[in-house]
Amino acid sequence: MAFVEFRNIKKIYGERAVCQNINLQINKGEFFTFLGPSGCGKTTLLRLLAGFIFPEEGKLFLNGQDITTLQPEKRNVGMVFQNYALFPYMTVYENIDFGLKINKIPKKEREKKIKEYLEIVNLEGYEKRSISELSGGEQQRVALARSLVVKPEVLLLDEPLSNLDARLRDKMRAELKDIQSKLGITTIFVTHDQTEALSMSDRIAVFNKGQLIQIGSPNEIYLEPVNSFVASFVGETNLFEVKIVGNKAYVTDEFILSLPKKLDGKFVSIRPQDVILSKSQPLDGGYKGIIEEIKYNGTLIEYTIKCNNIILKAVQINNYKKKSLISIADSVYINIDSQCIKVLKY
Amino acid sequence: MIDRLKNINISKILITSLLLWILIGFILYPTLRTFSVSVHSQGDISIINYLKVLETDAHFTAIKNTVVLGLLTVLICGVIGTALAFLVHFFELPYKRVIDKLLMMPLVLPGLIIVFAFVQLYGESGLITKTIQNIFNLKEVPFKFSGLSGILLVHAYTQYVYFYMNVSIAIKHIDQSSLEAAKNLGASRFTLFKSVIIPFIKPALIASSIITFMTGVGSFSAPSIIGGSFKVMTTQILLAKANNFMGLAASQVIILTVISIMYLVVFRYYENKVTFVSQVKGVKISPIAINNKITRNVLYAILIILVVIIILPILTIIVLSFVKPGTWMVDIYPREFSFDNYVKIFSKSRAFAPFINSIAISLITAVSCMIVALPSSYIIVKAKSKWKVFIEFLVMLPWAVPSSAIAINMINAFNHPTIFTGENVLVGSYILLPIAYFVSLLPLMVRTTTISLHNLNDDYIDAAKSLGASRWKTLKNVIVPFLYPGLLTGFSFVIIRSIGEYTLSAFLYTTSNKPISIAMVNGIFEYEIGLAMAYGALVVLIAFVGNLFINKIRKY
Repeated sequence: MAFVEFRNIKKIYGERAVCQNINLQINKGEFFTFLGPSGCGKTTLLRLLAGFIFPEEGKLFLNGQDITTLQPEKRNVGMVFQNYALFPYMTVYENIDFGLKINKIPKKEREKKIKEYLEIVNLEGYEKRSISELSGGEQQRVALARSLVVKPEVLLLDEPLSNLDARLRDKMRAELKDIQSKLGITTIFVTHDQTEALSMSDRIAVFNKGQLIQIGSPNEIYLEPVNSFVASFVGETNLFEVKIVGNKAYVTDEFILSLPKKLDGKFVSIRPQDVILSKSQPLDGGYKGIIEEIKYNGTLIEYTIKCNNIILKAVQINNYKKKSLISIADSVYINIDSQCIKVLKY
Repeated sequence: MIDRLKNINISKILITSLLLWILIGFILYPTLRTFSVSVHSQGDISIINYLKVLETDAHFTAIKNTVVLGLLTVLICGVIGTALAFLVHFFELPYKRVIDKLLMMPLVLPGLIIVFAFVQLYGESGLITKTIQNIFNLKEVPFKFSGLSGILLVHAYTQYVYFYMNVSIAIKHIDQSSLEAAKNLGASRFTLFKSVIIPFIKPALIASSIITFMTGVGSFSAPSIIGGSFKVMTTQILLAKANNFMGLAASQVIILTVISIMYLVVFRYYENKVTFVSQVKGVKISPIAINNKITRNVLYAILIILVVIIILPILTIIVLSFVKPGTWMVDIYPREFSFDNYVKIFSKSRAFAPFINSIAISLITAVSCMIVALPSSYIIVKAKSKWKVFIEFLVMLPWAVPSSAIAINMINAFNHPTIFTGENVLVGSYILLPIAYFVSLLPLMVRTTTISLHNLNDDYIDAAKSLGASRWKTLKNVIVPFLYPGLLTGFSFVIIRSIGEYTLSAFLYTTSNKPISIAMVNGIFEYEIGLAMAYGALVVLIAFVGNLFINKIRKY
């Protein structure tokens, strides 16, 4: 049975439905991500679950209990805010103590717990610090400890990494995931960053314009997007509107892709790593194009190729063996395996 | 849940109506009432009161004098305050923090006390005047401390601080990168000043000029005590009131209020036009070191003189408060000192009463300001009430209305029974003075509470709730801790402003609530200078303690 369930949820602000027809089931211990562009309704869903707002339609369940109309303080749902919302007039210790005190836990036990959770978030010895003395990453950890220490049934993370710089973000990503799996706590993570979503989640729900578009494991979302939105939002892709006749997909009259079998659809999506470039003509022909731009980003090299008035993106692993021989304005041959072409209905 | 929503709505409506009742009853109604009195004569609508004001030479001159006084005050305070702000914050300076604190001091000193200290120093038989006369063996006094120049001197001392404060903040926000970019583009020093520094401080200059002008035209202590033949509107209003020409007083009040508000409106418009929001976080400027030895020494000398000038009045009050009663008659300097004046204040009930009255009135004022300011600023900042704009207008209105005008409004409104006062006549009662204080200081309180409410992000409340805090716990552990620095600061400011208040008191006091300022003036006129100064010293003491307290309050 699902541990967290959104059943037919609809939320209206003013006259606009910020989300509707939301049906979602999240399992116990899962790291579940709400992914989507800003304004897609993902944060609204999080706030609905936390109880800061209430739905116009539908029901919310947590551990089998209907919590739809329950006040936030009665829900036992932990939340880490985007700006952390640490109380600036309290020390680190007092911040973490806040929830414990409210739950009337004896002092001795509270002290023990705070120590334990400071250890979990790698902040031993920070008890007496004031919030303003902490760096962004440290504040983040205190906020996490404050939410976790009261043993919530589910932990909500609202874009918690967005205020950190790139390097710290990578580090916190790993740490967050580590803490989550160690404690086995059911976690809902909201982000607009597809890399974050793909690298951390057990499952992902992709939202757009208040609608739930797709649910799946990171691999399913990446490899089997249900529509052009998911294909282009999750990961880089070459997305073309096509006309399909038989097992041929016409991007234009000059650029025709052959499909593995007869398929129905309006779009094709080809990941850049599936666009193979070579200097010599491959056996099965292929198209000839001109390199327009080369972006070098360390591990990968990204190419922009113009081919029969179509712009294509390709990436290659940047390794010593291949040591790129391709440079700008070169002509190259493009080869796309028909198995790598994903046909999308809409 | 429906039931609870109903409860919330009912309490919301109740609080809003109560608030509107108070604001309309004590701010809007008195103002309108004065207007109504001003356009009535013997029961008929007429503009005869206004004609009298405009056609009588004495009254018309007072209007001209008031405007001249306001503009000159802005000019003088602008020059002094801005120069000081640059001196302290633009250049490298030893003891910067101490000097800065010192320069801010006049903000907490009541004008009346400064006037008396100045009279004792620079008046006809003042300590400085006589000293100079003796040193140079002059037959006549070297300068006359009265009339327009006397008032301006007092205003310069008491009001430069608005310019100093605002320009200092603006200087701290000048973006170093903008300066460097201008230099990099080849700007000369003059261009740099004209096209980078001036735009940064212009909004501060305009904002300061508004408050300075309004304080200048509303000034009462200085004109009434040292104005002499230089008549201004505030003193004319008291005169009209004393002779019970309420129609005349009312029309003068309306004219004065219009002058004040007109300046506010015009310059606010101009301020909005020149204010800009910088897009990126600026780099703070680093103070410029002065390497030329002579320039530096001249600057230091100026600073030392300034510090002396600022401290001297306060020192004078304190020293003179210890003068033994009846010993300082003909000598230039007092010779015998004792605690007699303080002993008198604290042992004779007639002398002690004003002290207690002032403290009681200040506390009543501060508490009522807080009670009204809290829901008002909540509605202004957080709520989506349709009354928001109206409430904001009402609570800020007294800010633009001179104290003497507020006093006349009170008299006009409450010299007859009204529904706002439970059909009681308040003129002549104890409570009218605290009500007037409350009206005049409410804007100050609302401003400080509004600032702290802005800091209280909704996320903090949500965070507390999701950690299991009930409504009450959230209020106690999150909302109150966030607001209390602002509330306490506002509360202390209101106390400081009320304790030495003179203008409202001069119009509205009765024997039952005679405050310290009136006792001080009486003391001076009864030649009990030591006693008057002891009252003054107590006010200064309370103001300083309050100020110290404000500085200690933690801010986020």
